[in-house]
This record gives sequence, C-alpha cells and structure tokens, in this order.
Amino acid sequence: MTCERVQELLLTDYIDGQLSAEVLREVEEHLDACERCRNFRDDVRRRITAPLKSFEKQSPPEGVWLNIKSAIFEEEQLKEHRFDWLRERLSTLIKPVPVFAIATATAVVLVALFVAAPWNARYQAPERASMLSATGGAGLGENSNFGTAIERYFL
Amino acid sequence: MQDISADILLKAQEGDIEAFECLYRVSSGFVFTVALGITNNRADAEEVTQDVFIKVYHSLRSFRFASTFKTWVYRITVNTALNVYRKKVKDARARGEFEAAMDVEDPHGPLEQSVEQEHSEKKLAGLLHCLNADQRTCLLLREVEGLSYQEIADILGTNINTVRSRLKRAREAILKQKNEGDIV
Repeated sequence: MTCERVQELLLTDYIDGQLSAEVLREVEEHLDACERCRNFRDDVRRRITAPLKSFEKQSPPEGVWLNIKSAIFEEEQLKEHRFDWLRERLSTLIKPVPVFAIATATAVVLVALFVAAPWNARYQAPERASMLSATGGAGLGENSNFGTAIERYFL
Repeated sequence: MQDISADILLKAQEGDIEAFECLYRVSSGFVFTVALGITNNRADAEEVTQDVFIKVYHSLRSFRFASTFKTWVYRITVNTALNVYRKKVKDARARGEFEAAMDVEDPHGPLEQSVEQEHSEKKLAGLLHCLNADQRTCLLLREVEGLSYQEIADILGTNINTVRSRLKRAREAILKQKNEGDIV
C-alpha cells in the first residue's frame, strides 16, 4: 500500500472506524514501517479529531422551549377560532327581528296602501264634482281655467 | 441523542404537549449543537432550534417511521440550519461583508453562556472556519455526533462516497489551515 493511499485512508475510513478488518491490517502494517505516515496519523488525531470530540455539547436556553410552546398555543387558538367570523355573520342574518319593528313596518305599509288605493281615488271624485258644480259647471270663467292643454281644447 | 419510546412518539403525534416536550428535552441538545456548528452564531442556532421543533410539531402526524425519528430530526435540523447559513452568507456577500458574516462574535453570548462554553464554541468555530457548509455539516455529524457514514448519507440524502469525499476535503482544509499558521 502506498503512502498516498494510506494517508487518504487516514483522513477518512481509518480515523472513522469504517475499514474492513483486512484493509485495517494492511494500513497498520504500513504505519508500523512508515514514520512519515505515523506522524501524519498523529497530526490528524491531534489537530482535528481530539478538538472536535472535546467540544462541549450545548443545550438551548429555556427561552427557546417557551417560544416554541407559545407558538404552538397561538396556532391552536387560531385553529379553534378560525370560523368565529362566519358564526358571527350567520347569527346576524338569522337574528330575530323585534316585534315592535315588525309592527311599525306593517303600519307604514298599510298606510301607504290606503293612500294609494284605487277606491280612495273614487271617494275623492264626488268632491271634485261638487267643486265643479259650485263653480258653475265646466263653463268659461276665471275659476274654471285649469291651465292644461286638453282642458283648453274641450272648454 | 437517546432513543425515543414509541409510546411518547404516538402521544406526541396525537397532540399531547407533554409528550412533545419530552421529545424536545431528549433531542434539543443535538439540534442546537448541530445548528450552532453550521450557523456559527448562537442567536441563529436558537432560531433554527425553534424552527425545527415547530416543523416537527406540524409534521409529526405525517411521520410514517420510514426512517428513525432521530434521522428525521437530524435531516430537518441540517436543512433548516443550512438555509439560515446560506441566506446569511448571501446577504453578507451582497453587502460586501463576507468576512463579517463568518465572525464568531455573538451579542448574546457573554450573558447566557459560561466561559467554558464560549471557549469551546470559539475553538469549534476556529476549526470549521475554513470549511464550506457541506463539509462543515459532514464533519460535525461525524466527529461531534459520532454518526456513521451511512447514517450521515441518509440524513443528507446522498451516498457514502460523497460523505467520504467531503470529510476528506474538510480535514485536508483544516490541516492546511493549521500548517499555514492560521491557528485559533
């Protein structure tokens, strides 16, 4: 096995314990015989593997969990109330109308009908006739000038 | 990261917040450590940790045990941390502040961590400073978390040879950095 191949393995599978038993034996035999490769192996262990393995694993501050819990709670609240606006709209549409409002509306409608009714117009007609007779029929005179074209035509 | 019992996992899937907190307590250390190693910034690591667990909470119901829970959380952590890191680098480059983006200094550090933790973080940052995001991730998962090549490949969605190649380049870069006297 060449030094180049051994050093490649020292940077990867050897240092990471991924070598098969047979290849490991070959590398160990080379290392026994080659000081340069032994120094290289020691260098990799000292400068890379040891400092990284000694790195103190950390935990996040408690505030992180509180933020997560708060975000989850807010989402659950939003889900629970997401149809509130629809419920409010529907309740407005089917809301019972106060009795007084109905009564008032009914009264207004009845009065309007009464005023506009045809039989009401016939009731007023005799009054007009008596007005006409009081003025001396349909003859000419100041009081009988109604000012309309059709009346002028007939009168 | 220790194994999670199936019972706790199922309860958490059903929305049990206490069970979910149990998941958090067991796995937050790893998540934060990897996030810190990749982003090189404590505040970013806290943000990544928060994002990871909110994603886990949302996706837990659809987790079908195709991989282990551990691998799944690792994957979310690495992807989330890499996104934050790459965005930061991109923004810094746009402002012409690339070197500043790599800075270890953290405004929150001195108030919330011990001297030992700060020293440890700076040592790690100094070691990983010269690596790109992919190399940094592989080295962290291998050296700090002790994962095998296959486990790393599963997490990163790649193959063992790619993992091996990244580790080799990462270690070569660190050795070269040290040899050139750029020692932290």
